[in-house]
Amino acid sequence: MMNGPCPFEDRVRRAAERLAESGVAALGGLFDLTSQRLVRFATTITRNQHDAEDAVQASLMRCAARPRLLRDAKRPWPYLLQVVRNEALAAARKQRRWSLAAGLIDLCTRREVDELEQEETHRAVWQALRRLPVAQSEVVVLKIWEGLTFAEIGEVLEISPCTAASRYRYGMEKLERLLGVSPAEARHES
Amino acid sequence: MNPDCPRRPAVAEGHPDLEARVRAAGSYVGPSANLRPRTLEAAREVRWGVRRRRRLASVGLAAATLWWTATRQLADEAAPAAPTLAMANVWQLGEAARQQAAQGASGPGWAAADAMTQLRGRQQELLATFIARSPPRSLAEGDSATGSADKFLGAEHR
Repeated sequence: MMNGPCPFEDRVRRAAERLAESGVAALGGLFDLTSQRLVRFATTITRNQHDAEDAVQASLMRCAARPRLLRDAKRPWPYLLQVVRNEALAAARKQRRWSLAAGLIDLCTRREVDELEQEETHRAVWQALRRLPVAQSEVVVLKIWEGLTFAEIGEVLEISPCTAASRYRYGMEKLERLLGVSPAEARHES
Repeated sequence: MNPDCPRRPAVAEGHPDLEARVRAAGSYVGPSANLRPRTLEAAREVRWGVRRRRRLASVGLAAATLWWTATRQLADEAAPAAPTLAMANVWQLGEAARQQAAQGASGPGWAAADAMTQLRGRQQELLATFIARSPPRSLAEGDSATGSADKFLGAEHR
C-alpha cells in the first residue's frame, strides 16, 4: 500500500519539472534539494564517500541529459534513489580497493555546534551501518532516513515488501548488537 | 500487523530508540564542498559536447549533400547524351517539322515527312538493340515481342 507523496517528494517533482523545462540551468536546484540524502544513501552502498559522490554526480548528470525520464517517472524521488543505487552498485563493483568498514576518515562529516556532544553517537551509528551487509543497510537507510514504506523500498530495490521487512528486521537486530557497546569501546574501536 | 507485509509483524515498532539514534545520525554525513560545482560543470560540458556533436553532424550532412549534388551535376554534364527516342507524339513531330521548315530546306509537308522518317529510323535502331540484348527464350515463355519492345522503348523514352 503506497502512501501519498510527502512534501519532499513534491519538491523533487517540481525540481524535475524545472529541469525538464530549463535544462542544466535548473540542475543546481535539484542538487541542493537532494544531494545530502543521495550521498548518504550512496555511501551506505559504496562504503566510501569518494565513490558515493561519483555515483551521485553520474546520476544527476544522467538526469540532466534526459530530464524527461525523471519528470515523467511515476514518483521521481524513488526513481532518483533507484538511479543512484544502480550507479553506486556499479561503482562498488569497480572499486574494491576501498575497504574502510572500520574507519570514517573518508567521510565528509558535518557537526552542528549544538550536536558536538552527539558526534560520538553519530560516528558509532555510521560505523555500525558500515558493518551491516549492504542489502540490510540500504533498507535501514531507506526506511529510517527516507521514511519509505516497505512497499516503496521494495520498488526501489526491486524486492518484495516482505523481503524488505525481513532485511530491515535483521539489520536492526544487528545494529542493536553493534551499538550496544559503550562509547569508550566505540572510540577504541575506531 | 504490518501493512506492507501482512504475513510478518510490524518490525518498526520494535526499535524506537535505535531508530531515533539512527535518524539523528542521518545529517552527520553530507556531500563535500566541491561536489556541487563539479557536478554542474560536468553537466554543462556534457550539454556543450552534445551541442557540438549535433552541430558537427549537421555541418557534415550539409557538406555531404553539397558534394553529392555537385558530383552528380558534374557527372551529368560529363556523360554523353544517352540515346533517347523522341516521343512519337504529335507535338514533337510537329515541332521537328516546324524546325526543318524554318531552316528553309523544304516545305512544311516535306519537313513533316522527314521528321517522321527520322523518328522511325531511330526507333528501328533502338529496336535492333533490344532484339540483340533480349534472350531468345523470352518468346518461348509467351511474351509477345512487340509488348517487350514497347516496354523497352517505353523505358528508353523515360
